[in-house]
Amino acid sequence: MKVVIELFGLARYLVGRKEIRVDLPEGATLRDVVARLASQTKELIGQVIDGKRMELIEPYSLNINGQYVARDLSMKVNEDDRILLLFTAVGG
Amino acid sequence: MFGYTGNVLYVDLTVGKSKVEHISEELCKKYLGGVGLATRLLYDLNPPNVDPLSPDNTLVFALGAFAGTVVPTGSKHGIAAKSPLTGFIGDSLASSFWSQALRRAGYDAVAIKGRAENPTYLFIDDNIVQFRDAKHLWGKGCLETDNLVKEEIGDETTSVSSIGPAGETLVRFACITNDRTRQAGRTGLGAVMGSKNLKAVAVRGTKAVQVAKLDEIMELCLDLYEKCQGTATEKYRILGTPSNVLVLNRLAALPTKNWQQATFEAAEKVSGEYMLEHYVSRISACSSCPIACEHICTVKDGPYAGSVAPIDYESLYALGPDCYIDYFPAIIKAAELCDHYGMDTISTGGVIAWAMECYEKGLFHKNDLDGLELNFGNHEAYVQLIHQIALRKGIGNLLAEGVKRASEKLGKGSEEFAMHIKGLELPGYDIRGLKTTALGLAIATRGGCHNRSPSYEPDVKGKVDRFKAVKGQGKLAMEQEDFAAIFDSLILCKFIRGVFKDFYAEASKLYTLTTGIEITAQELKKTGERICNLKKIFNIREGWTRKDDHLPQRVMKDPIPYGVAKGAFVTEAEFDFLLSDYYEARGWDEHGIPSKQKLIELELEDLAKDIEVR
Repeated sequence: MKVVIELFGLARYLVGRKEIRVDLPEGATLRDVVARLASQTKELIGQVIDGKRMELIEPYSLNINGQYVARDLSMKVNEDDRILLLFTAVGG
Repeated sequence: MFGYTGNVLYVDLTVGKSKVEHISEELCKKYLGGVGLATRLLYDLNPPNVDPLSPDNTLVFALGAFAGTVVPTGSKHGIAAKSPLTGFIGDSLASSFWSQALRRAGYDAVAIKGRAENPTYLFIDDNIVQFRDAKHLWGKGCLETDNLVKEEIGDETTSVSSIGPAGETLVRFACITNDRTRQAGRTGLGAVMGSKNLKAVAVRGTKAVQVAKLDEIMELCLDLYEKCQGTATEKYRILGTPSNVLVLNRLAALPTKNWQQATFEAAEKVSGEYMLEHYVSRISACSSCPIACEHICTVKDGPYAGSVAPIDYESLYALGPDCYIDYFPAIIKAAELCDHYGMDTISTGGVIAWAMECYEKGLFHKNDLDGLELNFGNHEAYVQLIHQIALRKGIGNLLAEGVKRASEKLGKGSEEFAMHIKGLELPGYDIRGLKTTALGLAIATRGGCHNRSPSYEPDVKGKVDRFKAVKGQGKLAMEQEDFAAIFDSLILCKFIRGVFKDFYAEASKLYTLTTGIEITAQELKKTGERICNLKKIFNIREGWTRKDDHLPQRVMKDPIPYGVAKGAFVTEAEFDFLLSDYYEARGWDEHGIPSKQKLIELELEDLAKDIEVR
């Protein structure tokens, strides 16, 4: 199952890419997405991803297809989902 | 007193006199400082229904409780007057050295009324207040004025707050600039200053600022300074707020082409990422700020070579996508001109975007525009137009009135795409697909504003479904508004908000250690509510009714055409529901009027006589 993780702001700046495509097994959750992202982009560990807990560091969050923000990482992902890695403290 | 000095300087420009009066600890605790204190002083000093550009409209500068101390981001001041743009409460904030200087000079606030016969600047030199001739400064830009005043005083440590030519010509969205690059940008307070023939307020302060518990404050602040280097402020430090461009574009919430679209095809070219790579020449900070969000951009070549301006998201949105400008050097040039003339970048971009739509719809012709071809995206024309607005030349005279008045005067249906709330041009969040934000902007007392009512947080953080209007969003909008009122009155920069784990508990401790005034987290929270109610009562006294909490027609009629929010808009029924939900959460009646019981609860019962309460 292929999903795309879109990077913005600092994450994009650190990784140097706009998006990352990952292949995940059926039934994969957002936690799997974060783990895969961590394994492919070491630059994000400590800045965006808590490498020990395999969770996003506050205030980062995941938005699914630009429609809604994931409440927790146990949510299952679907084929062709586009997952937006966002810094959610907007304003300024 | 600690932190505070307990002194307010009252200035009457008509007679050229000043006096000092004391304010009580009780008043300080009730309104904190900044916007809260400035609004209360203004409320007491202004007669109702005053013409905003008349001598009777008082201009109040009030410091936050932390100005002049080590509290990170605390050196800020609030300014309030009746707004010439909205006709309601006008309040704006600015950072840096001016607030420190005023506190060291021995004051918590300065209230200025009257009108000087000739251009004048004030020099507050500790206890001495001088009224100085400013004829030679009239017509000068903000930066030049700052330099000339310092040169005249002969002391670089003097801090200057001034207006540019736009304030002098009474552009209704003129700002007040201090310390060369900081602006109290919104609601046209620069025009109020210009109407008083007041070019600048220079301050030199040499006294020490006393705090109640120095050692404990140092410990707390060192911890905050350290946290300010963490992930909570990373966005502001590295890319700056322009990193919002791509995020909002992806969410179809980036107002583009005068809000005809919520996505911008050329978003990458005006993104924070692109800006950092090509134009940022240095990153700067306000005084006492460890975050340093100000990304100063320089144009190295091309037609705008040599232009320099700090660029933040709101300026970028208004002068970029909203005008369909994708040429970054032109945005830097436009921001530089706004800074020179002393004009709010958001309102400037907003009114030009409206004029561009008028031009494309055939409501303005080339002849009306001194030959300018004002198509969307024509950066040469828009740069030219900024000069005309500031100097009120040609069509600029109409646009200097702001988009509300300009559209009412032009008519021909142009009101339908005049993007303002209460007359204030809108910030860069397309609220058709952010419904809590839509409510927040509609109810904001100073007009459509993300800073006074930052209700985008629940929408963007996913606390609610951003596309829906449901019960509870009123309470969320209220909480965000109260929260912002505390930041704007203490004052702390909102960019530090993420470093607090328990904001009200930590901020109340910081306040007590600084001022020696005991305040609990609960009391502090209540203070936010009090300040929001005070501002509302100010507006009611000026004639506010429920219909003034409105949304632009485009937000309620034209769905977002492209992107992930395609089809989104706010229906009349949704908006009505949200508004009632908010009033209910506030404890106000269906007309938006606070009850007597609410006023008693907030210790504002002395204001009940000014409004019809039940």
